[in-house]
Amino acid sequence: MVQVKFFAGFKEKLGRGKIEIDIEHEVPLAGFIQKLKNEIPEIEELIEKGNAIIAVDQEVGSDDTTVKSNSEVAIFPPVSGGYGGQDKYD
Amino acid sequence: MTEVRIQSGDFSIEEEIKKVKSKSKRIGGIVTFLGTARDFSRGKEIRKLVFEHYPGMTQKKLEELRENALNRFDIIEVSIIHRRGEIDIGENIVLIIAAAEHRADAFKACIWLIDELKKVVPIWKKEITEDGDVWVEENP
Repeated sequence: MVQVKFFAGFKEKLGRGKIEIDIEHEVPLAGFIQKLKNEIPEIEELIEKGNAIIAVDQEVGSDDTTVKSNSEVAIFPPVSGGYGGQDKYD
Repeated sequence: MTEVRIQSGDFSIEEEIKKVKSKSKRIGGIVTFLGTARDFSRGKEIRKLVFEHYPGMTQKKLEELRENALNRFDIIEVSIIHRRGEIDIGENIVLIIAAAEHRADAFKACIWLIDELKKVVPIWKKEITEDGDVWVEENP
């Protein structure tokens, strides 16, 4: 079971902090996100317009990232001050 | 107590510096960065701040930051403490301590550490204002 966690503004917009998604085999991150969009359609807008960061097992994902059946996936807005976000302690 | 941590309560700068100093008698210069909560941001009065973080990843990224700084600069010890939860105006938010034999390396490491922390550690700030609550990333 893959644990998917949401943080900050994303958690508030979705009205939930987590969801569990069942996958049988290791899958590419893009495929996993598609499955997640099928479960929670609102995710699509957050990812498209919210500059979402997607982390798999506590590392920011890339095109090569895969999701294992026991992975932890996190989807969150840009970190303020980094990843294109605003400065936090200027 | 580990050299990097996230906590809800305040920290004592003096105590934290004492801990760093106790690690080595070779230390000759210590530079600290203290981030505090100000009452005005982007044209709005701020009542208080709320910091949310991703617990496991935050600890991991803070530990990596410390290791990277120790490898990258000629420094002896690093300590990073970040608060979470509600923080009132004027209170401490984050403390970075960089200790070295000589001051130049400690200054360089401290600047690098706060810049990197802002980029890679999953901590989000919410501003509580008269007009409502705003996550900072929602207003690019």
